[in-house]
Amino acid sequence: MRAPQSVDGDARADATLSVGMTVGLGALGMTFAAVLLAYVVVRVQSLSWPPPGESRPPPIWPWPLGATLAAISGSWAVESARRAGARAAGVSSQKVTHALTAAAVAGVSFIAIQITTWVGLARTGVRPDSGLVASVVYALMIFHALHALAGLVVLGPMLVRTARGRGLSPGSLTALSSFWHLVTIAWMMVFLGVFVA
Amino acid sequence: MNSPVLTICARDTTLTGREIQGRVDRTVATLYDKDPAPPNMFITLWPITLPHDASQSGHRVDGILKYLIISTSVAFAVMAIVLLVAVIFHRGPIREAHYTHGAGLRDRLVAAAVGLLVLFGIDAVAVVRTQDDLRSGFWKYPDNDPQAVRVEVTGQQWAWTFRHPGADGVFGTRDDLVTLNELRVPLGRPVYLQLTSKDVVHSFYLPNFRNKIDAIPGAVTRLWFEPRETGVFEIACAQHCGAWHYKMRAELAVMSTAGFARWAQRAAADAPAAPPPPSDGGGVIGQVDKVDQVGKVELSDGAWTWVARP
Amino acid sequence: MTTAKQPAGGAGADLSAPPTALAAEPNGFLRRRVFSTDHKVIGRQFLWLGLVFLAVAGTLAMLMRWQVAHPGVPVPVVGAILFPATGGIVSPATYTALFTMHGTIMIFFALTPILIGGFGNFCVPLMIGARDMAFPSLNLLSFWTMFAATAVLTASFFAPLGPPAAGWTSYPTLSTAVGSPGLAQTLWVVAIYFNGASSVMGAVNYITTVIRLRAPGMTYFRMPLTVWGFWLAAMLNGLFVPVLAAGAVLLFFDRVLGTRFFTAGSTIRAGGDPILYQHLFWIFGHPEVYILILPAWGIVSDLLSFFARKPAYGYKVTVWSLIAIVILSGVVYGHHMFVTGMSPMLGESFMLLTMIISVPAVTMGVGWLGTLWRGSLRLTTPMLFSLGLVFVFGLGGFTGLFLADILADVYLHDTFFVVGHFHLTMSAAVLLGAFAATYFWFPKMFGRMMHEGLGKLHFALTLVTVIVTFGAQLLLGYAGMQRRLPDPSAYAFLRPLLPLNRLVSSAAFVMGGAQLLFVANFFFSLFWGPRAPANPWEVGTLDWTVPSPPPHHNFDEIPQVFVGPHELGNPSVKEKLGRDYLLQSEKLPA
Repeated sequence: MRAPQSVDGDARADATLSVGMTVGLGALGMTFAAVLLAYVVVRVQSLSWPPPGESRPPPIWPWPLGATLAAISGSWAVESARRAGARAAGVSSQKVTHALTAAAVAGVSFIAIQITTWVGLARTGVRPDSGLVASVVYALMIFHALHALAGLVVLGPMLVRTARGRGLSPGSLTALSSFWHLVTIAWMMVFLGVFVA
Repeated sequence: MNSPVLTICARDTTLTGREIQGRVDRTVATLYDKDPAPPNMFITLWPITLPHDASQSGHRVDGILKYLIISTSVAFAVMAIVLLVAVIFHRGPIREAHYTHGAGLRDRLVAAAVGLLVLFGIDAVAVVRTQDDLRSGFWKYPDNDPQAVRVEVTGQQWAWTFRHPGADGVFGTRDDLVTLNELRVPLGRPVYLQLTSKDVVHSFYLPNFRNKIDAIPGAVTRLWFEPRETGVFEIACAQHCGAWHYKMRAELAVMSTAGFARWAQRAAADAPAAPPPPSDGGGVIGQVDKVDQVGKVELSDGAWTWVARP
Repeated sequence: MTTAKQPAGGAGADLSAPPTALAAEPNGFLRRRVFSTDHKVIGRQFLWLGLVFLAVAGTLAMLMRWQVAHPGVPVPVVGAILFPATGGIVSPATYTALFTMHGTIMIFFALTPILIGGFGNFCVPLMIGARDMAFPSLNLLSFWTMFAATAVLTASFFAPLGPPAAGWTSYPTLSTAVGSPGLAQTLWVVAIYFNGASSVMGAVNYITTVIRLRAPGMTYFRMPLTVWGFWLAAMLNGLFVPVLAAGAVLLFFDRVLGTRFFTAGSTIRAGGDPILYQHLFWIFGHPEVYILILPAWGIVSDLLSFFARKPAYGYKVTVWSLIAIVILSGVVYGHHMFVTGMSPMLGESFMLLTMIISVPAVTMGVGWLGTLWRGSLRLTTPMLFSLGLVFVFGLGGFTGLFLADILADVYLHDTFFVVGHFHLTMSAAVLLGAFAATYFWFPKMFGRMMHEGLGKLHFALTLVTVIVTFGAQLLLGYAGMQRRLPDPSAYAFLRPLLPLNRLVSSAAFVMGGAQLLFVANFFFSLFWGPRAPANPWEVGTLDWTVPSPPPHHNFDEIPQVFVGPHELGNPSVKEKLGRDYLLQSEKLPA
């Protein structure tokens, strides 16, 4: 998502971007809310949780904690990129590049951890079709991971741009950080809902 | 996959999906009735009426329909007349437009008045009448009525089965009467149905009783009615449930009390004892754990069905 | 205008700042016509895509109607080619695929691209005085995502086990891997997801554009009602399409990964809830029908004013009515599920709320009639279609009350009454609205005028056949005929309805044929129609202040807006300027 105007920190363009981002995040929030609602409905209507004949997800710690760590550090990195970018508006900042690189690493780690989790679960015999609990675990995690991947896809060109020495508008950094934070918050909810509750 | 899949065992496993579809289509083309001679369209077009009402409560539905038809027709007619007058008489270029934004107090009062008229004249009346009809009729299930005829209905692709509890009044015992596509009830008693489905969502529709309820797999829904005359009425499926949804027809036979008792006795005597499980395990219908390939199966009445590839 | 205070209206351009250089027009065929970020190009692309799929879905409907009117008779001419295995007869399985794809394509791949993608894209920036959408690249992505969705859906036609056949609503458990085995339904879900993604991108764009890029002086209450229609529809899109996306993704997981969200539980195996899907679907599904009708309502509200040569009656009341309907649309979805055995209290709440929607709808109707009353009507083709919409929507809208009432709905649910209701409201009204929009904006889009005589003939045939076809379906439903029957004669109580079914089919065939007039008019006018002036309809909105078709940058200078969009028939304008309309960017001399 490129800002429609130049990258000289045009305040109007950034305000436009922030309105767009708010709408986009609203849509994203609705879709996560709907999936979580599906989980709640399925769980509440079940005779018990875990349902009879099924068990809770096997101990696959520390992976979900690792994913949480990756998500939070990714958010933290993007947030510092946003702050660095705001201070030196439009001017290529080493800090921004470093922060975004850290975010990319965190994002890739997150995806890698999730994949490892799924492979590990499958090895213990828990596959998506193994039952209702497994359905919820896999569906929520995959749904979330796909959106995290989308965040990485958006981050890519931005990172390339700033690494080449060209500036990023504060608005686009704010947009990216808002998206990232929402995805992190969504992960917290998935984590709490699926692994803790 | 380890999940059990309800299926029909495959016989000829060499056919491809496309070949199977072709065979199904060819067979199916012969299933339609021949095109009837074209009737005289204009004479038999009218009158379009509701199906014959054979229930004690059906008049409630007919009543609300009548009220809604009359009230909405009046409202629509007013709208259409205003529209027509404007289109015919308020035309340019001879006639000049009357300049107004319609934002004055009078204009807003007109809009409010029309809105309130519809709200109280149509909406409120309908809601009050309907709530009353539902609570005192359609939703007043005969839970505690010992006279109620209880029947368990199971919908499946593409038939209805009905289970009476039999003489002991308890479901799931050896004296239960199970019928296929035929529901027999006595006159003079409320009929209380509990419904579920074996596979997909179906809908149990009684046009002559103005009632329907979905039959949902994994859930139990209910419906009650009381017939007011004997006769044979149709039961239809009203929820898309697959290719033969249009043939998922059953019959409701309302019999006299004596006739129903006679039938129940005869049916109890006729009903075979539960058959022993097949010794070779390779019966026509069963549950298997694994499906290897797409196959087709031919049933005795010429219908076809599929198995799912895992 | 100082920096401390934003100019009234939009904040898109600050006239006191030095003029920024206009973005250079792209060159090369690909960048100008295929991968352009120009909202006008993208709008036309959406329009073409939507019209093509409208024709496809319409053809599917003709096949369906043939089968119902003449069960078991081979379809003439094309039957042998389309259905070789049965010698041209529409088999029951094929019929289920036909109605599934007809509904899916009409809603998602015809009406949405034509109205929202096509006219929304083209008209909104022009009408608010902007050079383009807020996010032109996102706009481009939105179109190609929609294109990808159509590719996936087209592929699903050719799946080995047949096209998707679980209905456009795709209820589980019929739509699960067991109920509908094979690739088709999975591809359907993927296509719907991409379509939804395209819609959400569009929503982000439209909402932001209207908030941020209005010309100075263009307050919210000076926007044309067309823009209101698109803006509110975009809000519903942004809020509720994601819920469909969630349902679609969960259904995808159920089909492909074997999860159990929508499979029924049993005593030996825990399962989810098929009705959960219905909730998720209709939370989206009901606002969706308003998404489809809001643009048409907005367009017609403007067109009635333009061609009655007087301001829209009760502009603010209309706007507040639209907003009320938008808010209510989110809380009425349960009326699609009255027969699923929901709790009575829930059912009654949904009934009450659904009934209440009739009030703002009626006040909108009052606005329309008030606009026409004592006007100086010019019965051009766009005006005729707008009048047709008022009539047909009145008919269809009132039938909604029958379905809102639980008692009546228990009888009428899943009968042809529902089919007649939604075809009258949604399809016919929206279709009439889309035709009105096409005849109206064709000059602006393509720089030429469409043929009036052919247009009027098209209107007359379409209006009559729409009323007969879908009005007769109301009667069929009243008589109790259920939906989705390739051969109603399977039921004795439906056999007497064959003449009425034949009438519906005959009218439908004429309706289909009449659209060829539109196609002919469209293509003929595209190449040989008379050149259109900038403002052939003599109206005041900003889109008619630029040449036909507009240049790449829309406006040489961002206009300053002084009045509302419907300054028509004002006596002082007539006195001072000698014409009966005032441009929005025109200041009336003292």
